[in-house]
Amino acid sequence: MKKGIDCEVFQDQLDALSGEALSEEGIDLLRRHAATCSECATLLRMREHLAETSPGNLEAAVPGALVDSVWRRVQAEIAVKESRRPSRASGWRQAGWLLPALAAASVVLLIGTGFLLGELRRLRDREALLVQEIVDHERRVSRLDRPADSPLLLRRGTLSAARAWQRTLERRETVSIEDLTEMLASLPSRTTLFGQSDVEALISSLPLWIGSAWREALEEVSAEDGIQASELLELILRLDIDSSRRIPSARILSFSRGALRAG
Amino acid sequence: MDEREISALAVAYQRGDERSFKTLVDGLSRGLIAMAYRYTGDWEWARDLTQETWIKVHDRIHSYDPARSFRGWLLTVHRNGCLDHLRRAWVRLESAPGDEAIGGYAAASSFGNPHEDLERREFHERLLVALGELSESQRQVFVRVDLEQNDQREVAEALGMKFTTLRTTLHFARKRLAAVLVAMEESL
Repeated sequence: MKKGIDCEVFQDQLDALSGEALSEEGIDLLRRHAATCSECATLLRMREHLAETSPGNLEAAVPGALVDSVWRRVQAEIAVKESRRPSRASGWRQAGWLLPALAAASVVLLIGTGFLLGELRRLRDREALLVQEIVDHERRVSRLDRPADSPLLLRRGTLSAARAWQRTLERRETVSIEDLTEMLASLPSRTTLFGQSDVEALISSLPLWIGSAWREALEEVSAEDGIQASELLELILRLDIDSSRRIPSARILSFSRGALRAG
Repeated sequence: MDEREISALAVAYQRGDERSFKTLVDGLSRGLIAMAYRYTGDWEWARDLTQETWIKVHDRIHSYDPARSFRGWLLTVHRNGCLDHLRRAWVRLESAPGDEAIGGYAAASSFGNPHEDLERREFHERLLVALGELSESQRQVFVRVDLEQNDQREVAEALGMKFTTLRTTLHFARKRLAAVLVAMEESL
């Protein structure tokens, strides 16, 4: 009778069962040991149970209907999950204020851009007008500075200067001799300030204390065509009048009306 | 489908190609159902677990690393799902022993005569219950080597353990299971 094996040897040899590495005699030894040991018998049964079907055989035994149903069921479950999950579309719906806000912002941007473009166009038109005004002004200035070859132009230039002088005096109650000389120096030299009749009225109204030198000088400069700006300036300088002395503007104006009327 | 084809389909699906997902489901579900059957002993349960696995894949496809094997990643997801199914069953058995079978065994087995099938299903159910008595490392080794019938050296590599360590762990796992099963037989 052959010698039996113990549990350790049995368990070591167990894997060899499925590998067909054991001889018929070896398998017989294992089975005989299993018959005497419940634990090793269970191990053998477990081993045989699990090795009964190889993975390949088990795969082949899977019912075809089950395999076919997997994709349909997976698809259905995913569809249910996706419907429960907040979608991008519902996200947009939740942020429902966003679309109107964006639309409003676009409209405001459009209007703003239109307004700015209009403003830009208006500023450009204004700039063109100002440039034109400057050009016209420069043209007028150059015309005034030009030697007066035309009596008409000369007349118009000096007349406007006389009116400017009159307006300056009208704004002041009194005017000092110093201011008067400055005003006269800034006027075109041929500006007629006092007409012939004005000078005559002036001379006749001069107080008695005014010396004869004044009367003679006035008569001399106004002999032909009244008193012009350069002549009056020269007269003041010649007579060496006190520069701080102030003369009522109304008095000067009262004598210069004739000149303006003549213009 | 070979590994390269499977990985290419997975990458295409990762980029949003739904047809690739259908091809994967149609091509790999049979193997997944067979694997789940070993954890349940029931085709319907196996199909339901396979369905759950594909839903998880759908939800987590963006975490899949294309540099690694898609099949390996898929089997890990599936195995974890199957073990979770067993854990839920163990919890139920603890709260109400004998109240509910692990797999249900509602569907008839395709193998052998009805009497043998019944004995086999009952033994398988007890085995799955006994798995709950193993440590986590013993369970991981046992299910991969004996339940799923994978090569021991490949399992050792996949689990990152030495081959001798795997052999020792497997040895103690089997002994423990055998002891639990004997105790269960004696209590019947």
